[in-house]
Amino acid sequence: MREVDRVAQVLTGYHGRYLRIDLSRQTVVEVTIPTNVLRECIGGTGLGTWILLREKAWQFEALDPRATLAFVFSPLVGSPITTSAKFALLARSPLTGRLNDSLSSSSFAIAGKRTGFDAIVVTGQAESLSTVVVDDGQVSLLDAANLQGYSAAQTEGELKRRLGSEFRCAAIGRAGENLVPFATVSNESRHAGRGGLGAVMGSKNLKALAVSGRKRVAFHDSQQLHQLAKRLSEESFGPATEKYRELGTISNMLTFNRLGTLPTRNFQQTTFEAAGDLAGEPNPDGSQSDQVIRTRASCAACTIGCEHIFHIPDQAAGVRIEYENLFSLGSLCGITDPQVVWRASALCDELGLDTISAGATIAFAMECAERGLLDEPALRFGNGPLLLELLTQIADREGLGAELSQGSRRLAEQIGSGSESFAPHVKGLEIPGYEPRVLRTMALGFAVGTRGADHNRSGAYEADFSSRVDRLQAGTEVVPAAIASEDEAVLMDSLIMCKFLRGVFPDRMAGMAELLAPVTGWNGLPEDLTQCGKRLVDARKHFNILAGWDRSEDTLPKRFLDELVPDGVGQGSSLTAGWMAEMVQAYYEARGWTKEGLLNSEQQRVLDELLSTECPETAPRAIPPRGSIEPGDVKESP
Amino acid sequence: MCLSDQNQPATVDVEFLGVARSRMGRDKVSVAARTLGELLSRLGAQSPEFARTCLDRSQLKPGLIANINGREFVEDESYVLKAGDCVIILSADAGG
Repeated sequence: MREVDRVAQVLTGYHGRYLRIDLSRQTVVEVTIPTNVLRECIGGTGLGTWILLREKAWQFEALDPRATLAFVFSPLVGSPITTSAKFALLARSPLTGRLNDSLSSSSFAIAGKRTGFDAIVVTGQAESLSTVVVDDGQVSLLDAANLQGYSAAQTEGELKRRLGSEFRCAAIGRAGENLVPFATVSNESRHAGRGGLGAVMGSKNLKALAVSGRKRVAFHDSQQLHQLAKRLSEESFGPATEKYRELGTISNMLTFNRLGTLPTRNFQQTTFEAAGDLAGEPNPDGSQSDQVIRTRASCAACTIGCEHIFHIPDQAAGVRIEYENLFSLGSLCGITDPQVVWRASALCDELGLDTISAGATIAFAMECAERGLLDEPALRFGNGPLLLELLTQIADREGLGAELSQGSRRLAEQIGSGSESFAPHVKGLEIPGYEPRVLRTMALGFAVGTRGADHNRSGAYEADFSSRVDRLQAGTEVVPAAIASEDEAVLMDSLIMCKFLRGVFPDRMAGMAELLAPVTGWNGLPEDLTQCGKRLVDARKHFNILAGWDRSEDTLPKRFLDELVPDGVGQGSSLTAGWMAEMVQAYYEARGWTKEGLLNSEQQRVLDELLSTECPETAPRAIPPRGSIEPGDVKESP
Repeated sequence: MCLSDQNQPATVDVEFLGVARSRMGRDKVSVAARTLGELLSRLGAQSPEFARTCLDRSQLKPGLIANINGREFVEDESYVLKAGDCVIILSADAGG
């Protein structure tokens, strides 16, 4: 029996192996994942970080053909646990140069795990635009030249017609093909949005990964798992998820505006005069404006149903609107017409652009133009038609869009003249819709985030929106809250489960352990998980250190450290460079890192040990071609 | 100047955001109350739907929180209100 099969036989919740596909050599190898690695890294983001470190992915620039891209599944996916149909996509980011993990949801995750692997890793570069097909463990390569220029949704439709309706696909659009460093990867209208992993796929000439399979994993205690799943599904209908079900994340728009935390006109203001128009909330009596037609949807295997789909008058399909789209393509760019924001969101989905980075980069350019640093007379806050035009130009890297397609950090470096101080990013990743000057815990979370400024890898805003922390005045009390939030997030992203379930668990660590135990049969999990979260944050930091991180990256743009908030509840508030430095230092200390922000020797030893675990591999086998999509197969124009 | 007096109810504005707004069926009301707990009880008396879906006796149910004047988040039902305060009832989880 092969070693990879022997390990898989004794596991529950896992296959115990990953697949490495080399597109340059056109070979495939199966790699054993030892049990201790699975227990330490769990799955999703955690396991993906271990894979990237093991594959030495930090050695190559993000768009180098030798770069590593990992689609990683989790122990919970395929189980009856609500919201567990998720996967993580990891690589070095072309936007930040640092570790990037983006998560997406739905049936692709379930089908991916049923291929018989806990992760599918892609290296190398195909000779021409291609689709990798993993069908129940068998890998083949499908020529996808005829899909050039297609959106991810169109690509998915064509591949299902060609391969069969049981296949699920993660694909890129034009932005990914054109290597825009904030291009997304999409599946079933969901997006692995942040950090530009669509460009990494594009650099490999990988239009899509199509997966299908029948290899289910066993669970340690199926009866207990089903009981837990039933209870969790019932609880997911309760008050903790009410906001997401009834109004969606877009309800943040009015709340943030009222609390003075709504980034507006490139973070020059914290309230927006058209927030009510953009929010599109029903009237208090439940009636809805005639202008707004909305429906609800959900990911596969989800009982929450947070997706709120808005129907654009002259378009057949609706568009899913989240707070982050509304903020980044709305208030941040000074756009007051909600229909422009909906159209811009739909365009980003079609082209394969991260809405936050696209909107924030355009907003930054608008401020540069208004300050006379860019000679673009039409580029002004509130210019909706130009916003729509620029999104297409960015995806095609044409005209002014070619400049903007670099993202705000590189654009600021090019423009100079002090514009770096208001380029809205941390480590190159554009800041999401939370004004850090009035959310001090989030400010620290943004500054130290391994992925850059991020509201998903750090939910530190939770402390700011509670009685635990004074969001306008807090000092080092933000440090433990920021750390706890990161540790929790990395575990939720490793199990993987939706963060909208957070409020369901009175004790989140114990709740996560309770879910993992009947899947894996592992005992002593709550204590293990607490340590595990810390180790995984260490591992992510370790990757960044190897990729060239230095201490100066852990901060916020100068605007947030010396400009006072001009409006809203937090008017007159600011952070200072001294405050920021003190918090970052206290954060390093609380993490047990050195003063320079490096891992201590014991943390390094633990990681080295984990990375030196022997992982038997099969001999490489050749990937056969699967033909191509002939012109006759293609039913739609790009 | 209006000094707070724990024996006299203070008239405060109450704003509702998100789910609390649809449960109350209104954007804003004015209420006289000494403490946050008393204010919530009075809101419950005004709206049985709000009482049923948002309150657990004189406390907000999990998932909701009160904010005073846009600045301070408050969970303690004995928190003393001052005349002119604006109490905002909103969803506790801001994520998304």
